Amino acid sequence: MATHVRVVEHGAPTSTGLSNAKLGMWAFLASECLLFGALISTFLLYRGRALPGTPTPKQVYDIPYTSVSSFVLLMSSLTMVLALAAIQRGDHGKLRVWLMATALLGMTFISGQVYEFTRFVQAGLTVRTNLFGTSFFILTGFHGAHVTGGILMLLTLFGMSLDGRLPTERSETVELVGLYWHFVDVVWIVIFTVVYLIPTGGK
Amino acid sequence: MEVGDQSRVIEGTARETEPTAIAQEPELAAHPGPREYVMVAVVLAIATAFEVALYYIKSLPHGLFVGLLLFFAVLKFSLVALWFMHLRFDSRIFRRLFVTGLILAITVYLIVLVTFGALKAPWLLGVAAFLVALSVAWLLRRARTARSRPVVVSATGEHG
Repeated sequence: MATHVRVVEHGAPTSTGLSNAKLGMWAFLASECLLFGALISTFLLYRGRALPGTPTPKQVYDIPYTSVSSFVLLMSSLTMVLALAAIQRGDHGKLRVWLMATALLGMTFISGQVYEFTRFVQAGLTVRTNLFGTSFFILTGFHGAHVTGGILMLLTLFGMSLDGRLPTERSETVELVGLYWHFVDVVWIVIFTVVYLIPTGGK
Repeated sequence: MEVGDQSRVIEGTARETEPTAIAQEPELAAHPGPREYVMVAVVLAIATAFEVALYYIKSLPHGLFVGLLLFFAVLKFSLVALWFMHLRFDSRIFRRLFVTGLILAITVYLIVLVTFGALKAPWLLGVAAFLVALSVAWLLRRARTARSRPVVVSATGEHG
């Protein structure tokens, strides 16, 4: 029986001609849209539910500070894609520089989030204070866990590159981690707008 | 037919990293270079600056404020997805896979938010219904196209 199979020059043949690993990553990211969609919707449903006397978004948010954090994460997407471009042209020195830069920017973002959480707790907002606190910490905490996972992947790639286990032919590994990293970035773009700016800004 | 000839007529989506794939699937293109990436990053930074500036303009009507912020968020989201994630340059299968998940999420959660009163705009249910209808129409069109596509013998006869 005839089959739809394409011969892929590098790697095993697949019925689509596409890398299964990359296809799997895109399917995973598509499912992540639903996960973060649920968390953001929960936040939107509960953001006005602060018990009298407990902190509200307007009282605890520090928009200039979060704007800088957002900018840091946004620029980490640039360094990530530059790392991919470097390995694709066989420049392993630059690959390591950009991978480490991305990991450091990610760590800066996470450090900023830990500092922000600490300040919120000091202001009396914990995960148990009110529904706003619960949904806020769960949403941003989940995102932070994703960023932390991304940092671990980046550091693993850096170690593999130092070890000589990341040749140019394996550039797809960097691309897969890059897709994950950029996704974490686009999720933050939505969170920054919907969770931080819209509820507290405007007239 | 020789195996080499057969491989040239095999249908399907070509692997985006193969130079020959670009010729076989016209929509595929080579990934951009560092210069273009930096330009995209500059646009992203400017969009973020506009967002933060909007936050401090207290005279803006709330509707306009929300609309402009959503516009900048969609712009930034699209730039990262299309350029940094290469959806603009890679196979359309990846694009469709991701957009399906995205539309599904937007539709489901718009319905949830309107139903539970978090969004006080029933017309959003219309937007959700439109997105669902669009997705279903696209899936049906794809199914019809797939049925009418000629079956071609592979070079190896192996399943991927």
